[in-house]
Amino acid sequence: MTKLILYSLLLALGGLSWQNFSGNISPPKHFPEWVYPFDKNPLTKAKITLGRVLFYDPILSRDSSISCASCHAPFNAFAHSDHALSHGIEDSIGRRNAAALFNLAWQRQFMWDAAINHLDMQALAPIQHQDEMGESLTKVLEKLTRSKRYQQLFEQAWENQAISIPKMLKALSAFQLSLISAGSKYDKVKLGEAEFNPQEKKGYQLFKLYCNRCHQEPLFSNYQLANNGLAIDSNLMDYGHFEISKNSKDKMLFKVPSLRNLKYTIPYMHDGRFNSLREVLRHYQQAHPYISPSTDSILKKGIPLDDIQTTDLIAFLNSLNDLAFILDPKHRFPKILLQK
Amino acid sequence: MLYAQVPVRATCFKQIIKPQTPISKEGEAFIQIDLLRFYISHCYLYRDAQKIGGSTDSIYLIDFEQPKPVQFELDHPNLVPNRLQFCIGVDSISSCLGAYEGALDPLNGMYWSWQSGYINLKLEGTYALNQQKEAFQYHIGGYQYPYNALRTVELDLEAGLDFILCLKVDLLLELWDWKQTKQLMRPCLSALRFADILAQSFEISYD
Repeated sequence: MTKLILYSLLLALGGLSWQNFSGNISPPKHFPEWVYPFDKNPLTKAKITLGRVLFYDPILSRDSSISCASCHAPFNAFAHSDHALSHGIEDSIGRRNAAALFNLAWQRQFMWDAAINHLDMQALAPIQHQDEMGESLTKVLEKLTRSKRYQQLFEQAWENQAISIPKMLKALSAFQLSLISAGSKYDKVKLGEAEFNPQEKKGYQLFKLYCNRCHQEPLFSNYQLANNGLAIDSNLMDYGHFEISKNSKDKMLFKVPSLRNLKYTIPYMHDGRFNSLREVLRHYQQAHPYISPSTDSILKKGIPLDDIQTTDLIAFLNSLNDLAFILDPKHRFPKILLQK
Repeated sequence: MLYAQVPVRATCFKQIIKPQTPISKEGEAFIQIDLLRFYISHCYLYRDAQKIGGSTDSIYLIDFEQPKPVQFELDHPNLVPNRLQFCIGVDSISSCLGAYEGALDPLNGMYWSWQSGYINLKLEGTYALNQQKEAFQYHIGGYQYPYNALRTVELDLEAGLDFILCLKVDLLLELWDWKQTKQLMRPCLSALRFADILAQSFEISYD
């Protein structure tokens, strides 16, 4: 009985804190529990606003030319569609395709090689990378502390506490956590608000047969590492997670991306080598010679899809595009940055 | 509640390491340490098997440019400690919990940006050998299996709380065989060996 009362109390408290932290976001009903520790970084409107301004402000880069949004644009589901590899300061080009940013509260590891273990620490990598923003944390803190705009925004977000790098990181997390994509046709079907057409239904069956193991619904990724049989690019020589672990078993292991919003996140793969979904599916249809021990077993023989099935599958994948997310004004460039 | 402060010191050939100051060996300039920072965590004082005090902060960043003591809260002030236990580095749980202020603030330059994890120790400087200078740079860390570089150190105490915790850098470099490897900056087997040697390079001083 005591246990029951305690459990009920915990549920009640959980519900209360849920309301508090959600602020202007809410968890989709058909999604699993999120994994981000919101108790350590409760979301508030002021924190999300600060994070949004930081995200779009090139002040974080050494020459004030590149912001997070330079490679993670809202109209591309916070990826970048113009080029295969990310661009940085002084015309530098990185080694990887900028990943789309949404539904980050359900992810435990970040970057294509899963090098980062917490969303709060992710921004440290691009800010300090010489081919991205190339700035030191000391300089970032100096610039933020000098800015009256940021003095005010940090005060609002943290009740007059001093500006610091951990607070900046948590604010960037707050904004990125607010990027929830759950408004696609698929989501409406799951919530009983729409129905798939016959072609999408066939595509959904094919998806469940061949894709769902790694691209698990409703997030359309298990956010684990996988080798999808891609050959190494001889220029980039990017071995994925192996570069972190130095364990040969980890060669060509990359984080499985979500299949949501594919319409907006061209090109595909960690190095942006494919420019259409047909190219991607052609890769998966082939039993190519680059199979390694870590390659997912379902891909070893190639996925047997004929042209009609390919079209059906693409029709289903298109039902995962979330235009409402793409056009959400809460995610866009903040006008405050136009003011001096 | 009673508190005790334990100074932490880094020495090389019995000389206290100071920024930008060459240290001599047998009368000749031998080495200059430009950067020495390391984390100390989970610090406890024991009387035999009984824990009688712990540090007031869970993690301390020791910087030889601005050395700060480790402060202990004494649960049993009537008991004289005869053993000190501490860890060098940041444990794996703390390495996975996101952004912190204070000792773990990434601004301290002790967090790898290219992958997650704190650098347990940074040691950088220059050897002066036969009038030639050779730089060395050691960034030792790693929190994940199989490259977890956190190490626990236990040292006997002979005269109660009036002691100094001392890192003997000359002993560390001698055991490490610095002529073989002058750069080490990622979690790997060599970093584990360095961490083992680092753990052997602390001593208790009473002067």
